[in-house]
Amino acid sequence: MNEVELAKKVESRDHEAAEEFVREHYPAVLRLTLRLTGKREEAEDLAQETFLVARQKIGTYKGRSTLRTWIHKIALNQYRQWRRKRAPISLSDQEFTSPDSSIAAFETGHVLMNAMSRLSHKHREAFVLFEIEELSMEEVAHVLGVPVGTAKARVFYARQSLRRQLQGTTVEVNDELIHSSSNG
Amino acid sequence: MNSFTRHPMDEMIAREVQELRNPVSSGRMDQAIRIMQSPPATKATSVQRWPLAVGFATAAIVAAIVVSPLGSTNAYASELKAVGQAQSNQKVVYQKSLLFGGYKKPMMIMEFWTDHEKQTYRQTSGEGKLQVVIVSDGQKSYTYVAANPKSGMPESATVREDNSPHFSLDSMDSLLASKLFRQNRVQKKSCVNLNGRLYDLYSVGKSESHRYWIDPKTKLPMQREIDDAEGSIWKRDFYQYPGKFSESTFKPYMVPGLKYKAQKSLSLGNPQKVTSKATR
Repeated sequence: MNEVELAKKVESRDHEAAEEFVREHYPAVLRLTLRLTGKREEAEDLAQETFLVARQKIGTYKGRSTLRTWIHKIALNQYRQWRRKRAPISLSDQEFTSPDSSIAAFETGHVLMNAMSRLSHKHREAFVLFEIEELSMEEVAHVLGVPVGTAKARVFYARQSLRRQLQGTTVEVNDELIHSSSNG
Repeated sequence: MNSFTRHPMDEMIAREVQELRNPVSSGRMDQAIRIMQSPPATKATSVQRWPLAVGFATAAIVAAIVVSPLGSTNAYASELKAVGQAQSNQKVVYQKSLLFGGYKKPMMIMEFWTDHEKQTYRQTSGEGKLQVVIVSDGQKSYTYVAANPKSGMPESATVREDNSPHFSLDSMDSLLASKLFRQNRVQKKSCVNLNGRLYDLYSVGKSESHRYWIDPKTKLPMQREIDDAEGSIWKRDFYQYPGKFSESTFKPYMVPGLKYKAQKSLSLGNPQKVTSKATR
């Protein structure tokens, strides 16, 4: 069954197809919203919103992109709407902290999440889609609605900024800052 | 990982990215399935109202669903899972050294002392300078952060009330949940000599980049090494079971003249708990 057929089955309320669709794409959608927002509750809500919209629009899916790209685009739009609705948060308020542990060590993704929180929205979106969601640059461009060259540039500048930030490695334990020597 | 020019920080970024690619567990996938199985709404409604429609029972599912099941199916993979189980709830001392390819000394050394709810973490720089100490007795945690000349941050100490466990032993769990594990077969060599003792050596990844020396009797890992993309050792960990603790192991690190202050605990998904905060 190809993706257009799957979409048609979901549209016609085939329960098994709907479940297959969600099981295939929910993890990536949740991961995307979580990496973009850094907030578990908000990310879960955005994932649900994404599937509400997907349910409405699944009948319009014509196979011009993969379903993965298609739903990533919906999720990104939901995230952007959410972002516009809320007031900017200061760094001291930001919640890019690990939910499971107050110790932020390397290899928890915590260090990078903190650094990502300081990227511009455009750069963060591009970085998350390309590096974490592992979309191709063409898919990233499609989801962002920009030319491939622009998508590449955003990923490049995101990476450059992250390198600068991590150079004087900052490990954050909740709202404590812990600096480590990076010249050893 | 990408086509950009390699930079010294890229290795760290790659490691962190790898972690962020790991599946995220959720108890709300069933809600999404119901959404997709329902007739389309005439207008997208707010998800805040959706739970009322589908019932809060689903939303209240406590058991987290591990989103991505383990894909490695060979026998050695299941042996590693058993190692993970054996490792849990151990009284252990665990030292983790971060090395970057080409550097002779570790960039950072992290040590963990874990005795069930009592936990202590110490972080020192490669030069041996103490940077952080966190002691948790299961009810409160005491954090000492050394002054940092680069940032100008003052030496500080905080205490916060927090019943949740603070450090998870860097066990097999993270490996078992990783893409690396799901996409690669586990290799095993028996009777491998390490410092005069024989171990089972399990390895995962291209060029056996993740290596675990497992005690064949206790099924507990004794050493772990992880290579970076260049094939240099990025991290070397040592484990000691049962951990040996001195009396002072779980006492807050007290610096003369430095007072502990209460501090709010920022924790994603959990209500903030009031604690006590402090500096000199």
